[in-house]
Amino acid sequence: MATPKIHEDQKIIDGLLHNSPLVIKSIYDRYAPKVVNFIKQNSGNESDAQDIIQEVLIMIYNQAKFKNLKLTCPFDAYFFLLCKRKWFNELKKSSLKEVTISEEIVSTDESTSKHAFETELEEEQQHLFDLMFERLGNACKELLKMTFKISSMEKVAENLGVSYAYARKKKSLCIGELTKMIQTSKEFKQLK
Amino acid sequence: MLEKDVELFEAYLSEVLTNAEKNNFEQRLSSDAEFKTAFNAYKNTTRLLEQKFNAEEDLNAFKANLNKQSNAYFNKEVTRKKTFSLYKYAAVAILLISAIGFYFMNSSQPEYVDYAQIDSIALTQRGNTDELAKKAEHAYNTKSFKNATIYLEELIQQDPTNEELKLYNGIALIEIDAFDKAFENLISITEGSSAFKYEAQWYIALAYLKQKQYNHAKAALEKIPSNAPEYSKADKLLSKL
Repeated sequence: MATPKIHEDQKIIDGLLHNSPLVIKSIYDRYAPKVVNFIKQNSGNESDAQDIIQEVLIMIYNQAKFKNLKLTCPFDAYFFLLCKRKWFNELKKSSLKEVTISEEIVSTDESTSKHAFETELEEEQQHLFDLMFERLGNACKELLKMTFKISSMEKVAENLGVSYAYARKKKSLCIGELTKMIQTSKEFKQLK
Repeated sequence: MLEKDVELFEAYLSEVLTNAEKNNFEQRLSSDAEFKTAFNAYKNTTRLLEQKFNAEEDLNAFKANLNKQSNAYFNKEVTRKKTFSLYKYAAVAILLISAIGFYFMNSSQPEYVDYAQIDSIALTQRGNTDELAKKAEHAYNTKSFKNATIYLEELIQQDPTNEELKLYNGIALIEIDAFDKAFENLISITEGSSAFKYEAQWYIALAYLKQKQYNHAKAALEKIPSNAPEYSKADKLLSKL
């Protein structure tokens, strides 16, 4: 199977990844007006649009950073689709049942939908993970924080005054427990 | 997930298995589907932990930059709408003032007040009800800079790596002529690599300008590289010094 061609808009993704102020500014200048209009036409206001755009850009950043996002569709379509779906989810949550949803024609093709779907899945996964991490016992939380902030397990063991093998064992048990909590949560079953 | 399995997962990921153990492990991965699923889940949790703690700083820098650009974009929208009708009057006034200014002050040095453009800040976000952040934001936006610095300093103590707070504190300190403390805040930003690096550099220059130390101001401006967003205004000010 041929690998799909990477779209030239990948440079926008790279700019986000490098935290480039110019790229972020140009995203706002070029793509925000359409989102603002759309949200205003669908029971929202400008401040809703500001939040949605910010949240979507963080999703895209994470997808680029951790999932090595390689765009095969125009940025505009991908970005707009994510904003649109996020806004609809907000509307659903806020019990505003009687909303007028005006569909706007936006070039949605398979690759755009696929990118959007994967980005949303990653966000849901992260969200679930954060939730479960908070529910973890304090000892595990502290140990995991330390092991991932200090990259050397030897140092962690030294800090805790335990042997390297013991620290590694503890770490594995904590990760195991967290994994189990994630997998047995009701939200996990709703993923995918 | 079995206890002895997770220990094995961790040992495999930390590469402490002997070659024979490693081969064994990989063979089991390919023959035992349940084992493989459990391992993949374990690996995924490890990845999410890495993301959460290893990349936290990068993500925070990105969020700070994003917040700044977002506020710049949306506040501009609001101000543009509110002040549109005032524009023509403002334009006339500016023309008059600059004509008079040109006549009287043509040969004088540039002044701090002409360059310090203090925009409103937004420290509180949706869901964030931090009282202190609200107070700091309010004081700053209503130009009670003395109070603003008190609140900002407290916020910085809670969040010592937050460069955005340090920048606002630096600006507020310049406003109340507490230059030493302003430099302390701003210089630490310029030594880092955050999105506020060159904006901080620009305010260092303005702090010198306010004290009429023109040579220092010049030297500070020259440190802003041509690809920084602050370059064009820095260049303009440089040409007048």
